[in-house]
Amino acid sequence: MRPWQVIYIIGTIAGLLVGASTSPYTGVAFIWAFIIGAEALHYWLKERRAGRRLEAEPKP
Amino acid sequence: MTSLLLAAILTAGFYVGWNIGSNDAANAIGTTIGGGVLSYRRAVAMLVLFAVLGAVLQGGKVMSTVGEDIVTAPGGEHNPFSELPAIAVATLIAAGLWVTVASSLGFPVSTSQSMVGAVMGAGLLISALGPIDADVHFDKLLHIGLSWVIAPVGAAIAAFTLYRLFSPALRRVRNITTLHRIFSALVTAASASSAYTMGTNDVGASTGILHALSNGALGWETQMIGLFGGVALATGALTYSWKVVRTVGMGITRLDVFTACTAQIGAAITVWSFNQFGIPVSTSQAIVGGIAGAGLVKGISAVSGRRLSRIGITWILTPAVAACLSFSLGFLVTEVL
Repeated sequence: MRPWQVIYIIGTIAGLLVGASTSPYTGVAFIWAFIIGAEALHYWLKERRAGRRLEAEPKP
Repeated sequence: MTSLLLAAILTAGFYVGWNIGSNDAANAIGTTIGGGVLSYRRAVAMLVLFAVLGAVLQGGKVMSTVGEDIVTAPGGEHNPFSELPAIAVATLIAAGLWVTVASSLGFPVSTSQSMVGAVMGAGLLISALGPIDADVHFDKLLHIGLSWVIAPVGAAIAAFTLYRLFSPALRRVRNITTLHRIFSALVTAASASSAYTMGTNDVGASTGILHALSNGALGWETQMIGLFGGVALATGALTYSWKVVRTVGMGITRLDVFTACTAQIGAAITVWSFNQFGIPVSTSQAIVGGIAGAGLVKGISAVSGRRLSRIGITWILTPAVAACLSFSLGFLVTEVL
């Protein structure tokens, strides 16, 4: 299993616990916020890595 | 009800939900991945979001059909599953076992069929052995069974028609890149819609028995059961969905963004139509029908007949095997253990 799969599983199970202790709708909102946040973070990290690689390349 | 039994019910319910995620995820995201629109990771993330939402907002309709309408006590004053929770656990495990076998072989079987078959097997066991009376409503089963035949055929016709309707207009478009972008957006939207429908339809079918028990010791509201089923489904999609995704997205026919789009929309229209009547149709059957219909536009040789016939055989086997497993496991639980 890849790291992103493990992170998403933790996020969705945390959403279930949030839903059980508050309301199911809050649980759904938590899962949405978690996954969208994780995707945004992944995108930002990927872009930053690509930018650094570009900077490291020798300039003509 | 003892806390051990309650834990067993929840574990079995989660197992069924996990199975749905591992097998049925392909119904919503197989075309998106096969058509090269989204990566596996992004497609699964989208599926989790919409399936959980659908399960909480609208999962209740199908839950009550599976959990309370197929098997009832004479007079309908109580539900046999709430009287015999051990049989309820056996039913959930039986429904899940067959789907696990199919997922490991990469076959997109119907979890709705498996669940309905298992509930029927349990109903037959209760009515045959007692200790309480139960009626199995074969008229309801006939209605559900008819939808299993109509759903794939309807989805195939819908996808074929959509393709035929729109392809002449699309041939006139010169800007291919824009067209590709529009269809990528469309197939993603259709996939999200299918994931939502999966939440309302498949989670409802798998958690029907939990719903039947919810008035007793479990004490959960319908939305909470939906969230439980949705999270179980998400876990299955995240851990074990790749094999069936590969069969659906790449094994039946070669998909491009346009065929992926028409197959997905055709399947979504079919499942949505049945859901309005609270009938638990199979999203697996609808999407396989949709993909076959979209592939047939390019000619019969574009569709893998061998793969389709194998899938068809597993569909016929599913309710029968689940019913036998449920009957045997239930018998083992009540009479032997």
